[in-house]
Amino acid sequence: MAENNLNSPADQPRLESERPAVGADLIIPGLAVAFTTYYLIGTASLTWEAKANGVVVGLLLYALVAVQLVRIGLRIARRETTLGFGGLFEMTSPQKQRIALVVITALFIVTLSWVGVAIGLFAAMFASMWALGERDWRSLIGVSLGTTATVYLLFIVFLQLRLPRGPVEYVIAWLTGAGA
Amino acid sequence: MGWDGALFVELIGNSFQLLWVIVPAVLFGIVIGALPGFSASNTLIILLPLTLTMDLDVALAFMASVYASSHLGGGIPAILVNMPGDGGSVPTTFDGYPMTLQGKGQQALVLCFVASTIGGLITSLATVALLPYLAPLGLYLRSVEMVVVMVFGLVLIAAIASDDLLKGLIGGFFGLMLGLIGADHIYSTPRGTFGFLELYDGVPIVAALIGLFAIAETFSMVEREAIVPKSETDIARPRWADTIDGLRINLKYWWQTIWTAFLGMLIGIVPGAGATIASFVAYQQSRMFSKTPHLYGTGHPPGIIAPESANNGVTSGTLVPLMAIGVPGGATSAVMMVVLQYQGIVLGPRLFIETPALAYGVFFYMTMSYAVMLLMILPLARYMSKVVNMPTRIIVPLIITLTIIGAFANREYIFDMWLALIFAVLGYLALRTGYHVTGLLIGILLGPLFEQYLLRSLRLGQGDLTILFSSTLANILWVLVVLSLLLPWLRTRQTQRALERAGDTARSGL
Repeated sequence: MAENNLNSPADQPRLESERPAVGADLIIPGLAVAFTTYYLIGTASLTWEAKANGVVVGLLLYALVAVQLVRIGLRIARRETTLGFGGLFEMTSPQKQRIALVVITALFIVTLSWVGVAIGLFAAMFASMWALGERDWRSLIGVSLGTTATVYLLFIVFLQLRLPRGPVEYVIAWLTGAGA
Repeated sequence: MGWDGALFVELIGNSFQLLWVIVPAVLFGIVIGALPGFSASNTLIILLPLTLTMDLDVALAFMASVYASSHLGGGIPAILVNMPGDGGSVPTTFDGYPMTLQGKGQQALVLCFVASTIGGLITSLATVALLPYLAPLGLYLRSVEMVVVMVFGLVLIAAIASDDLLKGLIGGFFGLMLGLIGADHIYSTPRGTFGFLELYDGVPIVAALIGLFAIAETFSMVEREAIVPKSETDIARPRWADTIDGLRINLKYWWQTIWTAFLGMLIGIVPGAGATIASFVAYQQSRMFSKTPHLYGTGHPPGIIAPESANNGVTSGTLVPLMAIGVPGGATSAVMMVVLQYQGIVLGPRLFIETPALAYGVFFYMTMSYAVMLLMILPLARYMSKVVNMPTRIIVPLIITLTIIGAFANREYIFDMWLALIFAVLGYLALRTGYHVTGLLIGILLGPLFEQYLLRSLRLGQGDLTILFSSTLANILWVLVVLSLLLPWLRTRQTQRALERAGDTARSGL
């Protein structure tokens, strides 16, 4: 009888390469536990009013993560799954584009205070489109310029948002008085 | 507080006379609503100096119209690019975006627009009629009940948004934990801020929303040529046939629009509850009472109608406690309160006796703005749906740069841009590993409120947690929480058993 069951493909222990990887499922619980521990240690010496919520929510979160760990542990013990990360960190072409987008956005934020929103936004739009494979110069320049102009008019001139100003904003303000 | 026929006619006349401000305000509100980071409340704050200089009637008509139409605008990016314009349109993404991916973006927009306007229209009319009787409802929910309402909301969201209840709950409680970042309510001691002054006021919701939804989604989008490739859809040219098809589906689910709008209105009356909770509760209730619950999340029309109708039903409901007892139901009504107080208006029950034209007028202006919206939006839907054919190499940079600036707009801190980027990475990891970002966001959103109500309850009970089970209403709500946890689990087990039985039958047949 047992032999018969093993003949069924669904019941045969799967090869490691065929088993789904659930290691990535532990990233969010790992971050949650790390943050909760940091929060609870940081509030340990405070009055009960300041830490009551953290303790209530944090303990519930620990309990939920523990249940998740037990669940994953049981699946690994039954050889249904592995602790790998699957394709999450694989260096595929879209993954490289994602990393490029994060780096460009970070550079945009870092340089915003010095170059101002007009130059920064134009450069970020241009670089992001290039990183994603756009090679038509008219699109690259036209869309970057159009977006920058729209943001300038809507956010700086109309909504009077105090976005960081740079050389372009100062020159426009000096010439027209707009967004001064 | 009976109805005066002459007053009724006068208010209708006033609403028509104020069309010159209502029409541009509606257009403005739709655009603002569609931009993440620009909620009705912070836009009204930016425009406060302008509204303070207007006549009171004009200012109220302007604010009511921007408020109502921004709720509608939030559904546009939610449907087209899976990026909710505000918290109230988060559930719209569950079925709106799948419809877009199926090439039915235009129908989805029509569903959203019609449900929003009809929902808002009937509830604003109902509010006018029922105002004197609705106002005291908000007083029945005290801090103990509010704690349970929050837990209930979180559990519902975990059950709705995630395929896996446990993952949904972990996401929700992690969000709740992040929502506790900031200075405590009594001694102002910073907690969990990593030493950043910018986090003393808590995690900025706009940065979290933009990162978790808008930017995280763009990281997934890069794998496709366009959100919906032109070859797979027939919406390259906007067609009236799709608009009419959307209207037909709306008509088919007319009852859904009505009851979820009233549900939204009732939730709106509870101070602090707001559009986010209303739209989630409406989505969950709609799925619970549906004969086809398994279709929700796959591009099922009631999954758009329910949250959109409810979050517009909230708009008139939120103004009820403001007008009737002087307690603002949400951030936007708090801004309205500032304007009214600046003009020397004392809010509360006497408002309806001393200045009935003003008290009821707001709801008439809102009704008029919904009527204007209904006429404007159907032609707009035809062209908006074309956005999804744009190549991702253009739309992704556009979304990232515009939303990062939106993150800055709320508090004008560069720090918030960094936070949006960090939340984007977190959101992308959550998306890829099945921890739905909605739970995280709602946890962050409810965190400060949850803390406020739990602390109040604990102080009342002198630190004793059993106070949370001290009222009948709270206990009923606890039972509902337990049921919400058990029912999805039982349903999954039932489905698994049915599948096993079907498998056994098939094997024995072989």
